Formats: sequence, C-alpha cells, structure tokens
Amino acid sequence: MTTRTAARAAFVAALTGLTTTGARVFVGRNRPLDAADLPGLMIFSGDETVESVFANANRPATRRYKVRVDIMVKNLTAAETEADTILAEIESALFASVSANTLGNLVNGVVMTAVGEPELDDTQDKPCVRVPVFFEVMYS
Amino acid sequence: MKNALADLAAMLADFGDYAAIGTATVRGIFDNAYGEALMMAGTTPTFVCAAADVSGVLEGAAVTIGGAAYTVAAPIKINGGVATLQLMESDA
Repeated sequence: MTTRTAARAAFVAALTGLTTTGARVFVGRNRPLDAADLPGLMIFSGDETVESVFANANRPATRRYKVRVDIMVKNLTAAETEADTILAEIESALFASVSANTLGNLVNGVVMTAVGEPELDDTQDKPCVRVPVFFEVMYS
Repeated sequence: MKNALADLAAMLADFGDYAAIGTATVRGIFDNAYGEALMMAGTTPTFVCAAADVSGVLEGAAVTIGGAAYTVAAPIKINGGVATLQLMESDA
C-alpha cells in the first residue's frame, strides 16, 4: 500500500463515526445518496503537488494531496445549521491533537484550506444543502 | 387554452386525487416522481389542478394528500387555467 493510499484510508477513518454523520461516509462515489445515507460525507481525491529541491532520485519530496469533503444534508429545518455542526465535528476529528492531525503519525499534517460556498436546492421533497470543504494532506 | 382545461377535467375524472388545501378539497393529479439534486436522491411532489380551484392559495399553504402533509414550496405556476403546485414535505 502506498503512503497516499494509506493516508486516504486514515483520513476516511478519522471522519467515520462522527456524531452526526456516523458511518455514512462515501469515498469516490458518483451515485446520489438516498435518504438512509443522509446526513453524510462524500470524500473525493483532488490533485497532488510534489515539491523537491533535488531533481535526482532518492531525495525526499514533500507532497500535498488535496482532498475534498462534501457535507451532505437534507432536512426540513435548519439544514445549513446542521451542516455547520458537521463541519465543527470534522475539524474536531482532524485538529484536536497532534496525533489526529498527523493521522496517527502517518503524515506530516492535515490542513484545511477552504470551506466552499454552500449549495442549496429546494426543488425536492426536502431542502438539500451541500457544503464542500477542502483539505491538503502533507506527506513525504 | 380552453382545451387544456377540458383535457384536465377529463383526466381528473379518471385519475384525479383529492387534496385538502386550507378548508377546501381540490381534485387534481398528484405526482411524486423520483428526483435528484446535489447528488441527493428524493422525490419531486407536484399537484396539478384547475387554477380556479386554488385561486387564493399562496406559497407556504398547507396541503394534505392521502394523509401525507405537504407545503406549497414555490409560487404556483398557472398556464392556460391549469395550476401546478410544487410541494415539499411538511413537519405537520
């Protein structure tokens, strides 16, 4: 297993079992979530940058693996507030300690780079809110 | 435009559902088809009826169809004397 694969698995594990979303965590899923899957998290890999001072082999490189987490909520009342609660739970899971922030000393650290604009839709049986949150997982 | 209403009347005679809207009982066609938004699956409940039957109904009005409670979720679309109510589930 590559470090990238292990880091992704550890990132997913860290966000599994949160108070509000529980085990409803989906990685790389391209199919819509059903009512039983909500509220939930959808996790997608982004691009990865590699920085190295030296061009030759066997030199350490710093990698920044971008990960997007979509907070998915469908709720009749205060859906955006529920998304905010989930965001706080995510931050607590990833930043509460050095061990949490390094995914159990597997990576150098996890940085939250942005919280995207909430997307809203009220054309269905209940209002939907999706909030994208962007992270970088740094490892060598 | 009279044809649309005539067609609706014929459809309601065969396929109509009854909705309680305020104190009135309105006959129309209820549809609750599958829908998706923002990668979340659900349904898109709508109720089609004669516009004259819902002339005083506004967004936010309570609607009960088959024992299920809904709310009118958007301004009512009226075309040729036919009204389409976009519905949303209700806590009530």
